[in-house]
Amino acid sequence: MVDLEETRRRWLEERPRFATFGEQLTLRLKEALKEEGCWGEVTTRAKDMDSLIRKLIKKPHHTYDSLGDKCGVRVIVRYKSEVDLVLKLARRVFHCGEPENTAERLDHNKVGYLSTHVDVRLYKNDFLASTFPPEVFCAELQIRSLAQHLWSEMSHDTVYKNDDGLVHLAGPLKRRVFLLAGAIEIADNEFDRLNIEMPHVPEVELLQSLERHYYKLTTHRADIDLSLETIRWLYPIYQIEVPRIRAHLDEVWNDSSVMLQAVYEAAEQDPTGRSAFLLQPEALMIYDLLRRKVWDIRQAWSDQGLPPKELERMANAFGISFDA
Amino acid sequence: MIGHSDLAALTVRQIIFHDVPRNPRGSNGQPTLTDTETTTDARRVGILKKRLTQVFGSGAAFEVEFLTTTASPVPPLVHSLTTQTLPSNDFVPASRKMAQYLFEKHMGSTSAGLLCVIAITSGARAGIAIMKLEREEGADLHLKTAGGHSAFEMSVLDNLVLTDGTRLFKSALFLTNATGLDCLACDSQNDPMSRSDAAKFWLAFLGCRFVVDPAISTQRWFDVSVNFINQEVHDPVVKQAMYEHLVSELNSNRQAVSPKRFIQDYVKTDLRQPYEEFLRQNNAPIRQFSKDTGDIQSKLRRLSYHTEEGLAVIVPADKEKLVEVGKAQIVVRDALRTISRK
Repeated sequence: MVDLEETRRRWLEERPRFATFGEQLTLRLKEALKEEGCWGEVTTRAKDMDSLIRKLIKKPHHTYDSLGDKCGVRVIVRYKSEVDLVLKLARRVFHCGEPENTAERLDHNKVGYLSTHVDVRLYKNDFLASTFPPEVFCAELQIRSLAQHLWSEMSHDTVYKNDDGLVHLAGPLKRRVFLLAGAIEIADNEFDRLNIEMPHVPEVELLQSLERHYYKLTTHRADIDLSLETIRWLYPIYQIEVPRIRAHLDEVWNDSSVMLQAVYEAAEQDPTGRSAFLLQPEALMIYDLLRRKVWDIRQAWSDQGLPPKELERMANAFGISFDA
Repeated sequence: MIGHSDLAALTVRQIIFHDVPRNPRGSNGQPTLTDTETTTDARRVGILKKRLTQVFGSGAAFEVEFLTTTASPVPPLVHSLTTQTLPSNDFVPASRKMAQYLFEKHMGSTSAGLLCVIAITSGARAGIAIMKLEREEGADLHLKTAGGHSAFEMSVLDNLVLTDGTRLFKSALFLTNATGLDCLACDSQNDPMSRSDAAKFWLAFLGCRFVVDPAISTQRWFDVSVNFINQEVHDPVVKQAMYEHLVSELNSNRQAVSPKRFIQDYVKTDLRQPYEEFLRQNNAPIRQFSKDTGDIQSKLRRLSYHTEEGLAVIVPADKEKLVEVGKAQIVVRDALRTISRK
């Protein structure tokens, strides 16, 4: 059995550095997700003292040094299919161990906690490797979809989190737990499929296109109902087919991404002055129309009964003046 | 060229204000020159950036360039500041020299104001923005409750600047480019293109002049607009009305033309976008320009023939020969294109 008093002493001393290490990993993952235009919530946490001690009591084969998850980083993405993308990004920025998908631990007739775990360290040639040597600083990266996260959170403090707890439950109760986990897994699969197979209506196609660029600028989640409604009356202004609008918006992004990043950084520093539409994926479309068809968008905006000040705030943020 | 991308990416690096009072002849007044930069935060910078965008992105901003010979210290100071690494130690003394010179240029009739100098960057471009801000009055209301009654208490604020009501003000923006500087100026209180001394005051202070010859801008805008009316406007009534407005704008007493204002005031909603695009495609000015109708006088003058029965024939002065006036008849030698009914 590991010397727990020595463990306490070392963790008290080393925990702040592990916490800083976790923050560094978080920053890099956020940046990588942003570059990819993928929304994800990234959080980090260095284990609390009691949690660390409990873990060593439960897993006596581990020592303080061999414990890989003293620091954890969690990424929650919207869709199951995005988990692999995050793993790919993690491999790009960190040295990753062999990923473990908890689904592989479950028999085909079992349901339960699903998540992908992987140990991550800095590459030896990383500029921070001397501060956080890879042989010492390791973190466990957990990647989950929102549905997987729901199950994990709801089951966290319950006896049905794992098979050991379930063994002692009565049959009917056990069945209800399995049904619940199954329902969440089905929902997870369906959300994923729906996103991929969404009917090809113009506003949905355009929103998917716009979101790829939007999440490169910010991690703020948008009001999707408002996005769809706005895109629905904005896209006819282009008077061209949807695939051409999508291609055009990609070009706008390529031409203006540096400027747009500056706009979003400034808006982040002054949340009081920004338009509510800036934190919506259709902001790119609004920018493009303000730039190219300012009279048409102003008319359409007015026809929709939307507050003109909001459009002017958008215009001003993009360096465009309405003043004659 | 200063475009919307430059204004959008604008970052405020240093900022200072100096108080420049009126300077009537014989007075011993002096400007209040500060010696320290104004500290600011994201919200205040946000307001400044918004105002800079509104003014320099507007149709009222016009392109200027430094005069080769001028008594103004602004050109050398701007050149010097825009070639230095920011923050620059020269910023405060340079701004003080500008404020002192502005005070010397002030006449008895010139309004007092605050000179604001801002060192900026926009991407890789360095720049200087100069604004003369006049104090405004406003009111502040506080709800007070006493003795079971409530009332609003009003206090007067007389030191306001950059309020939402003031969109245009004396200002200039200088941004470095590959070979020198791009410059924009705006002047709201007086018609900037007017030939009066008061109106010339701001450009003289800046040591600047207009980039494009006003006669060329005027002719280009008129010709392209007429082409648009002929080619793109199909309703004869609308066509006639737009043409009338165009001629009227150029015959007005205004010394400057703002195509954006013209669009807003006179162009039908569905024609605004196509008209602006037509102007751009044909290299006609979109920004405000100084009006000089010297070269298109004959196109603007019209002759009106009024008959005893109340008929009117309106003819451009340069087409006078197409109308033959007899004792009891008027003959128009031209082919009929359309008939409009109003």
